[in-house]
Amino acid sequence: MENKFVNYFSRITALSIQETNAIAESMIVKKFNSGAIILKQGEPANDTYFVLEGCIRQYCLVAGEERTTNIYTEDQWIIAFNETGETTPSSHFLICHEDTTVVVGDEQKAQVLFAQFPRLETISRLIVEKAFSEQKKNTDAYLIEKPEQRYLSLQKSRPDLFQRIPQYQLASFIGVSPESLSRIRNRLSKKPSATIKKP
Amino acid sequence: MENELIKFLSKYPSLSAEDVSEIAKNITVINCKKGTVLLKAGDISVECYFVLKGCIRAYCIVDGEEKTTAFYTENQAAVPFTAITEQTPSKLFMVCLEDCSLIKGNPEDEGNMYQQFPKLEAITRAMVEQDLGKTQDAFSAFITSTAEQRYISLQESRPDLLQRVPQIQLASYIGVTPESLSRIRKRLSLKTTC
Repeated sequence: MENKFVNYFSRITALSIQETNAIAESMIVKKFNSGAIILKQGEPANDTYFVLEGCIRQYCLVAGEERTTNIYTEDQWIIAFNETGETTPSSHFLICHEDTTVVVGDEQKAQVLFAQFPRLETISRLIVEKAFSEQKKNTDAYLIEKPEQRYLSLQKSRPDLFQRIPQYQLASFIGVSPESLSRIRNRLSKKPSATIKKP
Repeated sequence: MENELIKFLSKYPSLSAEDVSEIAKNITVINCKKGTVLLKAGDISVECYFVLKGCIRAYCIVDGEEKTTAFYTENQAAVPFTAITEQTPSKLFMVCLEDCSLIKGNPEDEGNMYQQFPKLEAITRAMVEQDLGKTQDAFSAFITSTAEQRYISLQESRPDLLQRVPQIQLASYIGVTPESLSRIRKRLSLKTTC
């Protein structure tokens, strides 16, 4: 499974054997059981994770209620960011939704790698930019799209989530109540083409 | 405006004064009048901007209505990442809301700069990481808060926007109608006077 990590990098840019070995040697792999909480709201978020296998759900508590703000699955990054070198308290929880294997990113180790192989710094910049672009897309969708459209785009971009995540958590991720989600699903199931057409 | 650029670059301790002046020579700074359209929906873009002075608004048109998705002000990067990385037609417009002084770049120039000044790449990554963190927090805040809370947190985090941006655009950025925003403002002003 560790190879998956190296393969992921090779898909971005062809790597030399030295680079591949350096990545494989420095990576830290951790396994968590389903239900494990790996970060609590209010705690400092120091670690960056790459999901090798499994599913991690990000949520915050609002008036005692869980609101799902992200769902990370295979090949996705959970990037801890620290402004001016200081870690800020996390705005959310991270909980393993399935048995999950991750690579833990370590900024110091990364710096050592970058000093030796500057190209890896470029790759890491591209990864962060991609993560940013995805996050921006999600955020924009909230301002631009109706819940029904968000449901349809999620179905298209991440169909596996619908098998892996309970409906009520998906509902909160899309930003509606579970009842509204089930109305949306009913409405869509009556439209055989399942696309939104303007009258 | 060169000075703004030098001031900005000098904030990074990893860059020497010599690096700063060399980098500044290689960077394109453009001045745009208020109203200048930097990106149109439908364009396939490779251009990105960094605001030295001024304000850029990003919006898209949904059913004939403008929905604002971002306001970029001093020291913020306005990069239509999705259009650039996926090379798909942009959904967004980007327009100068004030007279602007901007760094203009594209992935090719950017790559050349990193070759010449490898330290810049680390700075960029750190900047994008910060942007990512802020966007993540903004997203969480958006799904978990009411419009009134969003208005208050905007008041705290970016008080200048409330002066610089028309109400109607601010309303769509918070995700409410202009009428609701004006009700929110009224309610809050009553609270503070009590």
